[in-house]
Amino acid sequence: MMAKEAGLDCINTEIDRLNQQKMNGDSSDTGDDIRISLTSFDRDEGKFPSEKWKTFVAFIFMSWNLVLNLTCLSIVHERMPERTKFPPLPDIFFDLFLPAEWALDVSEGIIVVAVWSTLFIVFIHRNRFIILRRVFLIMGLLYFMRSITMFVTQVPVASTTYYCSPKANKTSIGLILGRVLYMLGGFGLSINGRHTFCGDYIYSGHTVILTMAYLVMKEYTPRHFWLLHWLMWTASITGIFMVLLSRGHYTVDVIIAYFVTTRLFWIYHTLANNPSLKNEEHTNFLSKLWWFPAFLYFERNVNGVLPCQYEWPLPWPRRCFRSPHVS
Amino acid sequence: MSVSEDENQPLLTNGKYQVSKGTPNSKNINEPTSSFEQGMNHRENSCLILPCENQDAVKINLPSPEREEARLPSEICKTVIAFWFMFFNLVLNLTCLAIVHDRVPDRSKYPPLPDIFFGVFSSADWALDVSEIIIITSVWSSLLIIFFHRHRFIVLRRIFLIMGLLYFFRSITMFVTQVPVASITYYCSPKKNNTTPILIVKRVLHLLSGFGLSINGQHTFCGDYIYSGHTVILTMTYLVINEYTPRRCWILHWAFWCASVTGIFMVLLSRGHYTVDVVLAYFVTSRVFWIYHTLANNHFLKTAGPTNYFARLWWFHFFSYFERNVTGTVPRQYEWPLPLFRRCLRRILIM
Repeated sequence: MMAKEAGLDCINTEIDRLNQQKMNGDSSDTGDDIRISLTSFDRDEGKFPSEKWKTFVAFIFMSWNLVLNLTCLSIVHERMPERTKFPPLPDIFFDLFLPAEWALDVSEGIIVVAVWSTLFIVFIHRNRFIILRRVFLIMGLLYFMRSITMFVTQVPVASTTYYCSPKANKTSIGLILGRVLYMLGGFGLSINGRHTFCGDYIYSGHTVILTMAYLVMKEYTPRHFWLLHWLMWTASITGIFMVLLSRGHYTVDVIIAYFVTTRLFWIYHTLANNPSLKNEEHTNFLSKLWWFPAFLYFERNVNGVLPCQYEWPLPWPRRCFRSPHVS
Repeated sequence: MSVSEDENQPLLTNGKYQVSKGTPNSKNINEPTSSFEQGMNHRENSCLILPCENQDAVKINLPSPEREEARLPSEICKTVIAFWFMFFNLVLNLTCLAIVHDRVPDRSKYPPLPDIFFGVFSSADWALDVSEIIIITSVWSSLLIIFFHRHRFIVLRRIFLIMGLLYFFRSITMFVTQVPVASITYYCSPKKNNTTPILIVKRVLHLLSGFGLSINGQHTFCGDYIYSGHTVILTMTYLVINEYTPRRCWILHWAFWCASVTGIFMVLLSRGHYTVDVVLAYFVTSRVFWIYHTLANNHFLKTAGPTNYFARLWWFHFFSYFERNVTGTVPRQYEWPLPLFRRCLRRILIM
């Protein structure tokens, strides 16, 4: 279907040109045959180049923003309101449900499973480098924006039982760096026992990850895998619920995280999948986004919607697997 | 799309061109008959005939060139509906404020939260009045410009819808979590131990009379911090002016930009909001505005499709209803809106 559409695009382009000649009264008709070249339908590698270098750049971008995130957390930990003076803020969810400390481990367990599942799906996807590039770029943007909201205003700790490391009265660059390295070892998760610095509330990183895992899974798996989509959706909702139950975040953190993640994901993919939006026309208001030039760089050579195709990427044991599955 | 190898049947259709296969003297029942010569491409009756090597020919029917003029119906009824949508969400906003006022953390126990702006600039109570005067001036200026816009009902409709959405989102974020009062000097009405619906209604009416501004002396209920309504209004006025005034009026755009930035700065200076409220308000306002206008100005985004992810937005169907009959970009044209004196004033066309 897409190959036929590609061929039709060529025909339409040529017809548009001829029509324009007709409107302009161009009488350059020499009577020669008109050749309309059709795109080769067999191989679509030209439409979806891997460009592994760009994926690496996107990974560095995401890593940089992750480190920025942890750096901001290391700093705001010192600025956080004193727990003895600032009890948790009033929250609608907290009024309805009693806290449960075990819920945070459940949430993070779900995060680990969801992330690994998503990574596996991306790993066996034929256009894995393009997808990874997109995931890295979107996650990098989300981490960056989170660094800002986390840094500018600090809300009190939402939980009365969560352990926060003691503040250091003097903060130095060495101290901040040490904290960043310490937290990097835990990947931002409390179950690893290394997320003991508090203050990263607005907006919820847990919600970002869970929402992204669902969006990526839904986007890059076949449409008829409704059971898988439903499972991921349920897992994400449960994970978010558990974060709130454990008082890991306020409700407003979760809402803002969901809003920012979904809007960014949808904006990015609408831009990527509609060629006419890949330029800075006055009708394309999304070109006013500050990251639009970066988007153009990464998506310039990707033409069209990525097909749902899978393959085993490693040379072994490829003999055991059939040729790429097209859905 | 349909594919067929039968003679005189459409091979490929996309609603724009018809490509059919046939022999040199075959008739295309959809187009006037035309004869053509072998070896020559031939145009007749809006058909393009492409000969093939095997004596067959491909006949491509070209539509007559049409002038595609933008359709911009006023649809005043839709503008009225959009106004009520915005009004409803404004009342919802004030209702949420009336409720959360009693849930705001006790000021005697909760000092203002740590904030980067507060750590850099000292507070100034007068700054809130300055900010709200800027808001009033910006809003009235914008409304005046829209009043003279030729397509004022379309522009107003869009503003009402976007503002309604922003007020709705704000109701949610304001309601779910309450942060302490950011100012130590701002007067907040005493809380009530018993909150009844009658009390809420009275508070809403009290707030409505002040249009949500403190300068009117009616905004004495606290707790509407996340996200900043002042920033929403200031950002929207700039975006609207920038979009619906001629591009060469760069002085006007620059003036509004300065006014908006100054107004936002003054809100922070007066401790009317935390910095995170302002940041979130700017983000939400600009994104909703740009998404809406991208949808409105690109016809292929006005229908749900596999590449239109904005169709997943919950308000997409509202958007479709309001923008269904508007085709093309709203041109920057102005006119005297009232029947009186219209003969004396020519229609001004400014691009």
